[in-house]
Amino acid sequence: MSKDVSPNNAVGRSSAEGSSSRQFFVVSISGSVEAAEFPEHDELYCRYFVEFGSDWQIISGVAEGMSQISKKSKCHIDDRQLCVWNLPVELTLKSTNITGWPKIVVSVYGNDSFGNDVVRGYAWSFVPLESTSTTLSMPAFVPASSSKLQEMTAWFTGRRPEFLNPAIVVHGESRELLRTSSHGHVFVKVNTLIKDLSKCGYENCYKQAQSYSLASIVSEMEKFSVS
Amino acid sequence: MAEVHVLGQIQGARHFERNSLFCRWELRTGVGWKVVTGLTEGQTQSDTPSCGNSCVWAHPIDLHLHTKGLQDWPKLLFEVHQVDKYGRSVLAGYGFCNIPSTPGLHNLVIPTWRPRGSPRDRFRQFFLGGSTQLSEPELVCSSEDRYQLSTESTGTVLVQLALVTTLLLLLGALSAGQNATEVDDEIVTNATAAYYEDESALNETLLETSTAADNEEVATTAANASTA
Repeated sequence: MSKDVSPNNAVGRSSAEGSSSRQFFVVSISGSVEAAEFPEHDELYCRYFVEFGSDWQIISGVAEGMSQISKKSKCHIDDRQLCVWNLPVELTLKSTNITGWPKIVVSVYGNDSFGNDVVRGYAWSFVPLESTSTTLSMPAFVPASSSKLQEMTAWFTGRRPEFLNPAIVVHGESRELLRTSSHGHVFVKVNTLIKDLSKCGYENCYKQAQSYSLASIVSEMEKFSVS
Repeated sequence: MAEVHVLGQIQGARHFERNSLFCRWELRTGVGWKVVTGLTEGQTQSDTPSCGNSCVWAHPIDLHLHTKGLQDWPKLLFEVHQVDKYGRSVLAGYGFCNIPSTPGLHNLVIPTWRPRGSPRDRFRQFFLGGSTQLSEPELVCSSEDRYQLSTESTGTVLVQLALVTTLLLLLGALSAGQNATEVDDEIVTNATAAYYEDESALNETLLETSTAADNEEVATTAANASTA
């Protein structure tokens, strides 16, 4: 993770202020990893975790989970072909810094034809930056073998290429070394609630209908005054 | 003095000839912008979709930018390359987009193009592969004349960005309407002088970022600041 600069230094607040007067904002994530759509694979389970930066702390909830194994519907009129998990995600975080905003990472696993547990896809998305209720549709990709021989060996032995730490999918470094293939999508429904973001001085959505008077701007600025 | 946080991902690309693609991306910032944290360039993974025609990169963008004014808004440049099964890469398209200027979620669809060579080059490329590239990639995002360049259109790059900003409200950039009659000039002056450490920075910033509607108000404030 690149080094984080807290907003206290950046917006001119006095650095002599103690941590008790630092303004936190709170992000509450509640939702579920609903389902996955993988046309070529069946009997899938998933693990999810929420990755966040070093300035963030968990207030309540758990940052990871593992689902049940789900098989697609046998109903012939249901052509969605989803593996449904409905795995709940409940987490509340607080921070002073937007950098390191939480991201949900989902890894999908299944059994291959020999019965080995192999990875079927990794997918990730940022938790929405506004208080909103939405379904994130994340396309999933899986690392590809580096040569034909390795691909055949992996198919026989069931040891497919996978990430030692799935958190690597949310980092941008050294991604050029990776070759992947993509097979499906993961659907995660997230309800986000963000508290006190405007008190920390951040604007996360553009309220076109409001008119801001200079007096209200002045009162906002007084919160940032250098003492 | 505003901060912009850009968080999102380069999702993928579609409508290209071949589906095995990767992308090199770069952030170009102008004068007065500073990158506080975050990577400003990189290369995505090379993805081959097994079904459908859009490849998946899911490359994270997590930037914290700091600016003194509103001009020279940063741009993202993209260079999409296609990969064949032997690992050779060929240029598939150039594209660029501006980072959005309003806070919120933005889904950007960036069309790309690539230069067409002469008929002799195209004949050669048909048999041997390869592609014509720009000798100066800066041409993609600059305002110079391009009339001598002949290009063909290729696919689109999909980017999803969420923006969070600080103090763009103060700079007057996001206001929908301001009631000058409610303002006490002295309060504004004292508050702004207290915020900025020296008056020269105050004058510079206020004058830099004034819009046509705000010119009068800003001039009054600046005049009061210089006399205070």
